[in-house]
Amino acid sequence: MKDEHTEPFLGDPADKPDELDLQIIRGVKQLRDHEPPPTLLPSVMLAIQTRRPSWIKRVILWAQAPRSITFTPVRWVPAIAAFLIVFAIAVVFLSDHRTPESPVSQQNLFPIVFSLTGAEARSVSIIGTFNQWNPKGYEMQWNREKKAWSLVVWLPEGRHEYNFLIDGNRMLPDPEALLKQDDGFGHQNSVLNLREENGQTI
Amino acid sequence: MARRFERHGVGLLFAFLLVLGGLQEIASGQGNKVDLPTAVKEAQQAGVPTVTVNQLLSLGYANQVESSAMASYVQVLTEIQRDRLPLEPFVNKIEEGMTKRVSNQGIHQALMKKREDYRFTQSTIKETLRKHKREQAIPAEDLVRLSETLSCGISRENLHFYVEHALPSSSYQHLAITLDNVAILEQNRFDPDMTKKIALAAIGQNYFSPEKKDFARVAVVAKKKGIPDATITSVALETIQKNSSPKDMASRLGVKAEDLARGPVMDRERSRAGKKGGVDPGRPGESGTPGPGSSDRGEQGGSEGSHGDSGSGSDHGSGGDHGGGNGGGHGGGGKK
Repeated sequence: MKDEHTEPFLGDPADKPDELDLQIIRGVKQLRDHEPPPTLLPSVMLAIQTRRPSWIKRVILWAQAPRSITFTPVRWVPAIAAFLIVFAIAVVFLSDHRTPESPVSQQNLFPIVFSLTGAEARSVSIIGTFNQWNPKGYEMQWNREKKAWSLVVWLPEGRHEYNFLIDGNRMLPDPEALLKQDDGFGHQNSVLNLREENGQTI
Repeated sequence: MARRFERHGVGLLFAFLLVLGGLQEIASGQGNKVDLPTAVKEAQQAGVPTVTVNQLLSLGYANQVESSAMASYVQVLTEIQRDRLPLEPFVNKIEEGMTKRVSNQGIHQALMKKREDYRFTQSTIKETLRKHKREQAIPAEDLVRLSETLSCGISRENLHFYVEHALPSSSYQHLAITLDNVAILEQNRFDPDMTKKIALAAIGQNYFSPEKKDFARVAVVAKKKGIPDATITSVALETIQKNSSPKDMASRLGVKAEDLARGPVMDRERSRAGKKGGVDPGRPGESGTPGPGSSDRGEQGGSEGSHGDSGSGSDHGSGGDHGGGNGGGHGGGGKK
């Protein structure tokens, strides 16, 4: 068997081990193997063990870490269907069980029928304090049978001033309104007072 | 000489035009002009709600009103707030003026007139109550309704007269209903003295109530049928004395139920359906603000008369309960 130190040295001649180096090498090779103490491994493991962060830090880290969500539509079909069914049932249930305490009746809105006869017009709208004098959405419908323009408007309690707007450019106070008021601009508004008391709406 | 006159004449003319312009501004109440941001700041300091100011500003923006005019409107609202008057009627009037394309000066004048009406009503009521050693706040809706009668033909003199007779024993609401009825009768050229007799009797008996809302309508229809004012007054006074219903008065005067079915009426069927929950939720006008009306197409309404709904709408025939009818505008309200 050939010793390592007897092998030919192939490196830089300047780095060639001298006699002292060879003695040290030999000495080290002749040392007996020692088993490490049994406490060495646990102590090393303890030293290198990574500490678990606090739960707050873990939450923050979790929240900061990027996530990717995978979505498979087919898997969601049952859940979406169930949600839609529950939603539809809830809508039907709520609309069928609207009580006098429901928002609509709490607002005390009253369906008021406005009518105009004898007006030669292509279109008639109703404008007033209840719609900021804006005819949009308040176009009256012509009833051939009755030969009248009419419209139902849901109004809250209170005092309302209104007029008919003929063909979008001519204002006409309600000829059937009992009370009329000077509008301050040289014309008149019709007045409607609505109030419910003791079951009577006036 | 002629040259001197020419020189001085031009100067005099210029001065005259300046004075004229100044007088016009003073007359229109816009003498104390401030810019819009300053006016808004003052309004907020005076306590005008920001939402009201914003409402006004957005109105001005939508109608492309120049900022000097907007500043004057904001100033008016500031003064109204300082007078502790309700702001809403004034904002509504500005809104109405803008949508009716009234000039800024026209709107300003209407606001000034309205402010004077409200101040007059407020002071009249306060003075009357002070005479009776009473002090009570006037609810805004009552002040609105009473003040607005001044735009319905009630003179200031008459308002003062009726306030003095009604307060403090009658409620503001009863007074307002009475004044509305007086206004209706006056608008229909009922004899003023007889009108006063009827009104005083009604005040004395505290007659007017929601159940009596058709009272003025019965009188007006009877007059249109050619019945003399004196006869109507006589029947009306008896009706008040006996606290009878307007239905009785109508039958005594030969006024039929269908004659009363005029003007806006309440659709009872829809109303009932609404209260029971059978309202079409998709119908406009039911969500928060009173929205666009739904087309009627004439389903409701009675068979008699194009306006009438004595059949299915309201039950005029049984005591005149046509809700929407503005028959005298009974009831408080005032709020919009």
